Amino acid sequence: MSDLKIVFTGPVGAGKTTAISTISDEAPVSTNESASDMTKKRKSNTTVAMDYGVMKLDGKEKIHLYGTPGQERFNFMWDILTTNGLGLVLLLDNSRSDPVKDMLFFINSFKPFIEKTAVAIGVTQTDRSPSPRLDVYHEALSEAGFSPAVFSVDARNYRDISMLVQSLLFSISPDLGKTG
Amino acid sequence: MKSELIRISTLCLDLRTYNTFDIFLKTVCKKGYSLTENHEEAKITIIDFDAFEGESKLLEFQNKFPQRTVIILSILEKTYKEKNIHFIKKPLKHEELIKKLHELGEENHRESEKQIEIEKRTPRNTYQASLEANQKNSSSDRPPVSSADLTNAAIILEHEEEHHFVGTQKDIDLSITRNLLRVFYHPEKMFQGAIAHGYTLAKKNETCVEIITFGIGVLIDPKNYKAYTVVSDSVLRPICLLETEDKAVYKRINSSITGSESYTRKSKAGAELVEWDIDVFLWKISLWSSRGRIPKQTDLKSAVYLSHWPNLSRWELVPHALQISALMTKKPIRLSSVASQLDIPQRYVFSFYSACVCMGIAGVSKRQADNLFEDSIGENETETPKKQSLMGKILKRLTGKTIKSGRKQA
Repeated sequence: MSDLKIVFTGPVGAGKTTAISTISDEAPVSTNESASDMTKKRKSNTTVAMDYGVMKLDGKEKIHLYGTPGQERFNFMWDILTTNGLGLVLLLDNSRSDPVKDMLFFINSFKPFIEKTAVAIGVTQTDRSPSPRLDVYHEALSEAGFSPAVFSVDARNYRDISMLVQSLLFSISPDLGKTG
Repeated sequence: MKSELIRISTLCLDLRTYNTFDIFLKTVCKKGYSLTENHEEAKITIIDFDAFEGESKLLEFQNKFPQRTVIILSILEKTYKEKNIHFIKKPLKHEELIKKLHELGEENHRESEKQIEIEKRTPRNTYQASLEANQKNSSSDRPPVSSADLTNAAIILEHEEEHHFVGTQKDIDLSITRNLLRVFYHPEKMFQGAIAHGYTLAKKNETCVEIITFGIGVLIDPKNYKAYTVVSDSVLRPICLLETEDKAVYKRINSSITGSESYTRKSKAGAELVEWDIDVFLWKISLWSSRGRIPKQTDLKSAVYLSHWPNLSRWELVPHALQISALMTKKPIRLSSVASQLDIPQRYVFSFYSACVCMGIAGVSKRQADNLFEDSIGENETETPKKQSLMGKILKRLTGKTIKSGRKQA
């Protein structure tokens, strides 16, 4: 039985909980609580511990989907969550004041994990807040020495999240399929 | 069968034979067919294979019109695997020709009806179908999907639409020089080139630009990253394949697009301007133009780079684009190696690369070091078989199909 997992991370309100529920085969377990302090300005409920979902695979195997809490005071959990992680899905909210800064914060925080695995980035809210364009994210990533997939996504849209996870898998192994 | 006139063009026919055909079609075929000198408007093309340079003219023609129904006339018996290539042995028997034309006429009629059906389908319908399929695998308590999500969804190419973007060209041996003629195209002489140049001008001058080329007006608003035109996809698509020596006209619009001539004229005529995200528009027209080919002057012996992934969730998705992006962003690599390493048809790689060049995110690597070593995925980059197998299962779960499907034979 596989214990591998895909970790979803990103700032508060970026859509981690929704993305996991979009591709999970079981109703996701979420430890949401009423938000207080700064978080409340963006979202009335927020994830204080983590989200959990699962994708059932052939041969009774499973891939676990974990969402990190968006609040930075729970950073200590990130190391635990990334153990045995297959890769990282980073979700960003384009309507936040400085989403590129958010991205660099998460990229730096998960840097050792990303260097061992891979990351795929989904930017939400681009329909309501078209700026910054994705080029700006790519420029910042290039300066940081990364060139991951960056897609506009809607966390509720199965195809978008599926494509994001697929890009993560191909980033790990571009010739995936030859051995399948 | 609907009595629609079918236009036929000819290749390598001398004047006398041409005139004979003309009379034959007008009289014996009872006006169901007519000859045209314009290949673009023809549905069928007849070629005298035995004429001087008949074979090379046919190759050149197929490269330009890969989907065209062609009737080959020759003394020597020939067989072709392609469904759109037909053969009639010379000396020509008129009964045989009439029979063949009737068959093709009916086929053409069926194709036209099918095409109308396809065009009736909106992106919403296409997405809705996939959404319904996805919902079967999903939990019932998911949030509802709004209509905005439907219009935002990436467009997965349906099988019948695929050839519009990636063509039908079979893999060729790139070491044979004459084969290269079939994989090159001239974007700068095409609609794509005019629009790309107009966009560059608009960005440079930070002003709206109206581009008039091939009789079509396109407005570019660089500030809002928008393109506007009144022309539908079905008109734009064939225009994207044409080449011209005529220069496009670029007009600077000082205020906003509403001040442009095209806008005023079209508004008066009651036509509606279609708004495009400029990247989506450029990506789409470059795929229509390339159709499995690469820009002329591309050095196939050199490695090419991809500076970053295209926004594939919102742009037309070329088959295997995710794998191609993943491989090409790892390091510069030869285009032929991309196809062979991923075991996919060259035309997918060529289309993808051409569109990326148009978007300014790909090109030939200038660094000598990139061309020194064989293109391969190093052993340390390959995952363990167990992990590879698991990732294959995840892919299958996400896409609903086995990952080997669609490879090479696609």
